Amino acid sequence: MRLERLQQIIDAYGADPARWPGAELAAAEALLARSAEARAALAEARRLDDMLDAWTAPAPDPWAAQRIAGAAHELAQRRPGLRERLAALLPFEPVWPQLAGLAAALVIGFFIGFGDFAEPDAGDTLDVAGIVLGISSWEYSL
Amino acid sequence: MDLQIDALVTPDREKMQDLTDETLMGRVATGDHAAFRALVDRHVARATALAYRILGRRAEAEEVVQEAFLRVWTTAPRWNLDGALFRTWFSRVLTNLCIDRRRRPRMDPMEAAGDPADPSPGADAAIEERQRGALVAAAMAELPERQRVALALCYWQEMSNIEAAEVMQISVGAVESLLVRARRSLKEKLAHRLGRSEQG
Repeated sequence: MRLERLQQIIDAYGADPARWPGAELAAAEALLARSAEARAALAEARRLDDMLDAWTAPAPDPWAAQRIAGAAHELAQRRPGLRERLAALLPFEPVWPQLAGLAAALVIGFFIGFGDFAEPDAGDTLDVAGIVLGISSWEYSL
Repeated sequence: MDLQIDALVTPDREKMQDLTDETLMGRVATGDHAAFRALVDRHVARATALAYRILGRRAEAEEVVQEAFLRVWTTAPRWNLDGALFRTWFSRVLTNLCIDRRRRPRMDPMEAAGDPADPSPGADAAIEERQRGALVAAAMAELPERQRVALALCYWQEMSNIEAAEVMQISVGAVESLLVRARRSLKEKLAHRLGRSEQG
């Protein structure tokens, strides 16, 4: 093993050989034994490790396992709704939402299209520009 | 009701101790509550620690851990062994949930590490240790998420680089590169913060 590789291992995994890649451990330790430079790199990494070890993770609350088991039990007890039961009968993903969306788009499209073909009656038309711009028709017709 | 569940599964719990995670998972797939409870007992502390390292907040970590275990419960019937270890698969589920959670907007500041000050002998050393821990927590929170996950898996969870690569679904070389960048960045951030605290 070259010193550069050992330096890379120390930079990545820290000073504890227990964290080093198993396949390279023997070669890394052999190089460490004969290289003062490698030992200096190790001492430097150990300082960072000491800092990292100061950050302790809290233990889970003592009831965590019971709370989680209870939540799973509730999930198992919950009766499936009509939608879940219908979905379970299908061999494929439910397509009801997509079909409903398509049907709604067809209905809206039909009414818009029908409105275009209908003969406009001057008295019944909406003053869309007036609504959007907030002005009366006489203001923009001037 | 919780007590009832506990009573229901307690006699079976000892029988489960010798079973592997994968065998337990097979039983969970059939709706076996005792097997599920055994898996939770076995992994909850480690999972909470991993989630805490990534999220930096205990309450969020506990919520995400519960969500991950419920994912275990609901997906067990479809879980494909395929040579994968439960621990690797579960760590992947958990880290993905943590990353999703971290991407949500957060209103509250990062929580300080540790408990209130202790007046007992040796408390000074404990306070100093907690302060150092708080510096690490703050520096970790600034790391990009993949660097943070790689460091949490390989350093604190003591996973091999191969297993961490499987969890993160990247190459071993990529894990190593993330670790080098993470440690280098932490070193700089901590030197800066320590310098600032010594000046102040």
